[in-house]
Amino acid sequence: MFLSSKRLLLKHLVLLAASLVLPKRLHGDALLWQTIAQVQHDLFPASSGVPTLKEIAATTYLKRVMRETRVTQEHKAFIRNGERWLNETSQEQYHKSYTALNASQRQALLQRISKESWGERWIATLLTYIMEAMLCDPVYGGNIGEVGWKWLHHTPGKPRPSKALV
Amino acid sequence: MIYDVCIIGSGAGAAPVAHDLSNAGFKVIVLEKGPWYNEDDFTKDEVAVSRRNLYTPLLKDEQHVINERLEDGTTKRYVGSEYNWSFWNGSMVGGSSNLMSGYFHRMKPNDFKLRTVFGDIKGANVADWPIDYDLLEPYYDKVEKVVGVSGSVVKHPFAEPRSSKNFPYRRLEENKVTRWFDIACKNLGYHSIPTPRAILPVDALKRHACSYSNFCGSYGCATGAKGSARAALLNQCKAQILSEVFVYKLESNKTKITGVYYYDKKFKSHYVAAAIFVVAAQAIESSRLLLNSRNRYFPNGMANNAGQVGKNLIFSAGGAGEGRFIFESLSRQQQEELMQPGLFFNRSLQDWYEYREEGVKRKGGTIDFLFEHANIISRTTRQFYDDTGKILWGVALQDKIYKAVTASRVLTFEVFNDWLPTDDCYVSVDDKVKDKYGIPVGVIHLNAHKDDLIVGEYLAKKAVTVLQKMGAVDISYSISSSPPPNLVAGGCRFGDDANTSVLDVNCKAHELENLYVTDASFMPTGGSVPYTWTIYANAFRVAEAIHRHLKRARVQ
Repeated sequence: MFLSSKRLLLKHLVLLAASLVLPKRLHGDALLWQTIAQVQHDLFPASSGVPTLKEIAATTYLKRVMRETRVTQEHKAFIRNGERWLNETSQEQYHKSYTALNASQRQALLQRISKESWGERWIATLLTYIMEAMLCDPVYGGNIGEVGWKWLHHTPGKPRPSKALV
Repeated sequence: MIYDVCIIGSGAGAAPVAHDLSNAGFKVIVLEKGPWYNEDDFTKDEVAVSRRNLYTPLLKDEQHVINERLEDGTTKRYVGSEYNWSFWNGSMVGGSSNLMSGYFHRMKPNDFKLRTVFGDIKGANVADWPIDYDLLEPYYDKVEKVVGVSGSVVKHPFAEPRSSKNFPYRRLEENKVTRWFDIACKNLGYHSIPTPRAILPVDALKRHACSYSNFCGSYGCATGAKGSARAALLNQCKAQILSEVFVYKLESNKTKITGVYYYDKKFKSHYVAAAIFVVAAQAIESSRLLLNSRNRYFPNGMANNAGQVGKNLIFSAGGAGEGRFIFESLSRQQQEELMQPGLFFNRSLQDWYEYREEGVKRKGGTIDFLFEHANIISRTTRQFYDDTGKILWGVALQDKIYKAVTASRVLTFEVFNDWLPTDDCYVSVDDKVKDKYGIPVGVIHLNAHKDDLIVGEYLAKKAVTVLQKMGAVDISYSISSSPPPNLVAGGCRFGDDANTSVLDVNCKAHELENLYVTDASFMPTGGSVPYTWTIYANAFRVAEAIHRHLKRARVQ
């Protein structure tokens, strides 16, 4: 595409620079959740007999957690910051955002951040919420059709909640 | 209106007083900070109960400051909300007794006279109780019958004397793996004890039997079988109970408490007058309330002119361990026995309640054995790391989780031994951090005596021998000086000397004529057992003393 004027060219350069320096500001929650959904797939891939992330509504469940009043603002900020730091590390190593990497690059990046304190903690946090999504009572929106309980032959305690309490 | 008795708190130390005195015709009011749940509210909701701590306050609203004494003698300050360090248990009518597992052990006769039997221990403030076991025994017996304790009495070296031949309720149904345990103990020369439980195996006491839901500890009981202060006592008495009210100050003249102030949930202040006041808000909070209640007569806090309020805070020392039984080493029948859900693993060992090692006679403790909690989310999150401590994910993690949950089961143990009271373990109030009501929060000064760890290690190693004999693998344990927030006592010691104790033999404040403290605060030492049975028993005993007090006052 040819740019029609110098002014237009400058405008595009400014926007391009901004998108490189401030990807989060431009994309906001969209990038956050796109990245987290990809990390969830990389941490808990489709596997024979194992509930899929779609069946346990893992991303939707985590979005719900981010609205809970009993989860501290600091913890929610950590989840958000982890995504930002992951993408910063991705840009630093591959000059691409996490979601633009291929599967082996993403795994390598996860391995790299898992050796850092924040990275290990962030991965454990995302895994924890995958487990919650998979094994919570379905009133919380995860574990659709009790698919997680069936996988692990788990019998829930009774009485079960009739509605979400948090 | 002037009540006969105003009780602050509604847990195991409060409910026996409310029960006996209100049913005897006295006007009793109970002021409880938490909400009032009933059986219908108690579901086995792991997310709400265990992962989001539904039954405890949010730390941003109410918290503690923890001053931990480090090995080099310095102190590190932790503001609870900043470190997510919570000392809350069950904030609700009936308190944390709603959420207990109900492992009930009596203290032993020598627990009442540790100093006399074992002598002084350097660096510890060990004191004999001003009462002995024989005096408390009838009240232990009363708890068995009124609250409801199930079990069967067996002979063992440290079995305590009993006035009733056996428990009033038979043992709960047990998992067949208990037989493996009994055989292992027999071969080792140990004495397997069926753990008494404050759980009804049959419909009784206007409550329903246990439903064997497989989710007991940490959860409220949906049948009422668990002997919580709420189900067993408050639901069956005539006391007026106000929930979601926070008592923030006691008011007094020179000799008597004249009233208490509380905030309702809209932060509106109210006043209650009564003839007698009973503080039972849980050990740390009871001391905090007294320390925050300063006036011209008690400038250092209510009943604190001798400077003893908050001192000698204790916890249960010890730790926990576990071993895993894996399908590969079991027959088909054993696998089925192992995975049987719902039934209890009620076994304890007290062979080393007192022992001698390297010429030193030591006070030992109790080891309770139980299956790993049925919470499925926490059982999977425990699989996140491999043997080297490296975090796992992907198919490797999925395989590990599947195998651990479906083809093995963990038997855990808990060690209970004395947390020796010291000068450096106590409660004060903070001069900076306040709760949502604007009241200074409690400061927990933590320090564990080195002997606590020595005894804990000794007991844990004994527990390991049982797991080994049973064929468990991946055996591990951890004995530490980390205090369990659900096993806390002391702070308002009872004793005969007003200079070294806050309360007299009947748990009435030395310095005030009408103030009693009936939660675990009174305990100079804690015994090497969970506290709840002793708290219940002592509160029934003190209820009789308050009854006499009220009768005397009416005559006058």
